[in-house]
Amino acid sequence: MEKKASYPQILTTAVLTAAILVLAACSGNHTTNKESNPSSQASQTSNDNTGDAADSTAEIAKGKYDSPITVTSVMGLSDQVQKSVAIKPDVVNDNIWTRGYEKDLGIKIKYLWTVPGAQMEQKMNVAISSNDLPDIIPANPRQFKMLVDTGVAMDITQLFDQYASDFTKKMMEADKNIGLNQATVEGKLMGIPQLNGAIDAASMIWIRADWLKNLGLEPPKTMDDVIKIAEAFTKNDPDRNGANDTYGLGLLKDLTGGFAGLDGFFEGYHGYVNGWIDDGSGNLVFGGIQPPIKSALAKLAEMYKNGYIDKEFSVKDTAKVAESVTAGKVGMLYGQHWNPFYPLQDAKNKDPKADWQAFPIVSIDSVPAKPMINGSAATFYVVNKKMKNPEAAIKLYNYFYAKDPAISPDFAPAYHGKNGEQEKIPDQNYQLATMTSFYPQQNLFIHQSVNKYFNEKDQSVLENYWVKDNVEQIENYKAGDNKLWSGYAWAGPDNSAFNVIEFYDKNDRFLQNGYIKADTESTTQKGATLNQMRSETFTKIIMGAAPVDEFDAYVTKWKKLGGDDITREVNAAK
Amino acid sequence: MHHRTFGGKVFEGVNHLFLAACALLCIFPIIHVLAVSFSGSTAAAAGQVTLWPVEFNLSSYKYALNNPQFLTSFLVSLERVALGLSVNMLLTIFAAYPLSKERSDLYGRNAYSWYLFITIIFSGGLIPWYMTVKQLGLMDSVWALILPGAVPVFNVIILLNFFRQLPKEIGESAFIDGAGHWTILSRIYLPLSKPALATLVLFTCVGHWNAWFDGLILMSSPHHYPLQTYLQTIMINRDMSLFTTASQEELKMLSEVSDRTLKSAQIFIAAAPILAVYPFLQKYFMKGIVVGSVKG
Repeated sequence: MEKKASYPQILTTAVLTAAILVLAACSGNHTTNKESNPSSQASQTSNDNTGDAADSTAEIAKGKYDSPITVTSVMGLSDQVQKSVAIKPDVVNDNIWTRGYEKDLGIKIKYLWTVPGAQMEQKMNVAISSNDLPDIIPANPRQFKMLVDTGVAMDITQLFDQYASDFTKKMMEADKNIGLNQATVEGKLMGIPQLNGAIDAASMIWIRADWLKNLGLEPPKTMDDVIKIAEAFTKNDPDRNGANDTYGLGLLKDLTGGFAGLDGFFEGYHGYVNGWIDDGSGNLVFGGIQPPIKSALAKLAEMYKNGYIDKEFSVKDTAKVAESVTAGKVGMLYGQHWNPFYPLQDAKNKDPKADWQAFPIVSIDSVPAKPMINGSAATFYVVNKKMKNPEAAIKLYNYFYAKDPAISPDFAPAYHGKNGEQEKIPDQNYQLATMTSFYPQQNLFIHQSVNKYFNEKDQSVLENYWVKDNVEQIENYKAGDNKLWSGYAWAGPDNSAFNVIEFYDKNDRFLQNGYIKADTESTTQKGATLNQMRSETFTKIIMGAAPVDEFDAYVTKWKKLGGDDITREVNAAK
Repeated sequence: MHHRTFGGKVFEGVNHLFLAACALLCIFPIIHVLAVSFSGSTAAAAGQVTLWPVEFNLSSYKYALNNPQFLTSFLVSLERVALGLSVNMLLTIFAAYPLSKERSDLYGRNAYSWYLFITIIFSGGLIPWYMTVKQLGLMDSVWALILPGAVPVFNVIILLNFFRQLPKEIGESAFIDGAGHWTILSRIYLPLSKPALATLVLFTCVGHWNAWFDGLILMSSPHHYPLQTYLQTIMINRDMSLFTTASQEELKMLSEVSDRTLKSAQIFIAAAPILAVYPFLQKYFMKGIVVGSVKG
């Protein structure tokens, strides 16, 4: 008897659950397709009491709301902002940006929730699933696609055109519209991209120059040089400690990535392990299954056999490889521009002689190696269809571009916040803005200006806030503050990360990934399995557990297990 | 004692070795974390620390104890344990006592039991749970961490089984002497159930202290995170691909964020209260199981 009593319970629960889900889905599809009626005309100007920058501010804002409106959003907190929150708990709701929005734009910001950046994805997934969403939704590419597919995202093509400030449009041009293109679905702009520098993602080789010097070697010009350096770093005791305890090439178990990955190594063979390339007839094919990858794997297997690669690489994650680097066991690795900040600065702290320098990737033949670059946006601000004043989103975006980039005519340093002073003034930091987006060539610009200062003694570049900040740090490093080495290795004048990026830029080396939009249906479903299979196959080949020809079997399986579907979808969506 | 056979001795020897190895496996990571927390940060970053601190210093502890977020979260956790423990234990006892009675004493006892039991097997899932808590207006309050799990059904079952094992006659004779249910529960059942209660107190404390996921999903600001949620945010493996396009300011935080000694110190301080509670409740814990089995 009692047992039967449980069935109604289950049924009720099931029905209720289904009802909730259906309701959630319905409200998600609920469209408010009314043409947004811009309550403020472009001609409206802000009051003169906004200060001396009133004229340009009026242009930025394209009109202030007479009676303040409230806009909701959420925020993933950067590490810096988390520190600020600990000092001043209400800093997210009351800071230089929120005050500026209210004073200059008549917009009050209300954050429904905030979460440390590392957990943003998880928290946002729950919010999307339960349709508990704010007006402005910061989304990663996968979530962006979900919001578009479920009809939450508003088509802002016209609004953006109408309300984007001249400076904002200039930034989009500087980006060659790559970010906007990423946010465009079937010809409609469905989100506002947070621009970063696409070119910053290019691979480079980090090498311990002090080891090169110890062994009388030159920086690599060809792929053969890379192998020779790896050999010498393994066998010839580059650190002169009399022990055979070093190896040539740092590698982590994931095989690809921005630190100790193989992307740059494959690029040396003209292979693009994660990219889509033109097959010559206008169709895109997946780079990871092309013959150059096989040749590169054969070479890697040889290097592994000879001990140039850590025998235990297949179990080493970023932190473990970083340990080897800091302990002075590794002398060369493929990486990206940010490596000096982590973990190379640790290596420098441990051993001030560790002189890591960046070099461009090199080629196996006479064709120059080209680093692949992806899109410029990894975050998209989706405007919720239910938002009452959708143009406010674009005004907030304009406002950031007006106040933050040091090349903007309205640049105000307080909005950006000063490095290292966040503990004294926690409410001044660009990361507190509701929407952020950057000058795509910002880092390269900094480097070039820093170069002018050091090489041509051009003092005028110091007028720019970014440049002044970086020059000061590099000067302090040169004066003996070892802790500031990372800034020097990042943007400094001698073999820094951005020397390499500048080299690529000048010589037109960047290769744009053929597909930079959100993952397709099949990629979402099968991508993880395919990546897992790749990682297993490649690891086996490198470790000699499988012959190089295993690669051909992998290619066949890749196509069969969803790769062909993905290729079709990518070609349809490009 | 009888003279043991050779085989018996070997068995015992192997047994001891095996148990010692298991114990070492458990304690090794704790000692390692402790050693790292007392080490210099460069030595830790280079992976030179195993079981003994290298470049001994206390700076990470100083930093952790001066970190306002760490302290705030520590207080939130204490509040959570205090409130959660009272609510959970009270409701566990009040649910277990009537359910431990015979069917004839409590009309519909089995229906109530099933009603509770079903929640162990089926749950609404993450999203309905989140929406319920939100609609009840509990978001961002410490009660969101306590009320959804206010009746720990598993604990209720343990306690009601323990109550059932107590000789019925004690309760009956007290009843004849004029005692009501309140008196029987508070003066007879509870004092007799100390081992079981101590075990449940331990379970509940550890459960509340270690829970982190609900804090992450239900709190709207990191300022309200309990300690384990905060620790999770600093321990989580960062997605390195995000740094590809990170701005310089974010990059500069990287070296600080990756500081292993600091993480270790915070882990250790967070684990300390539980480590301190265990020895005091452990004796009841052992006894609880033994007593239960004998009476059964």
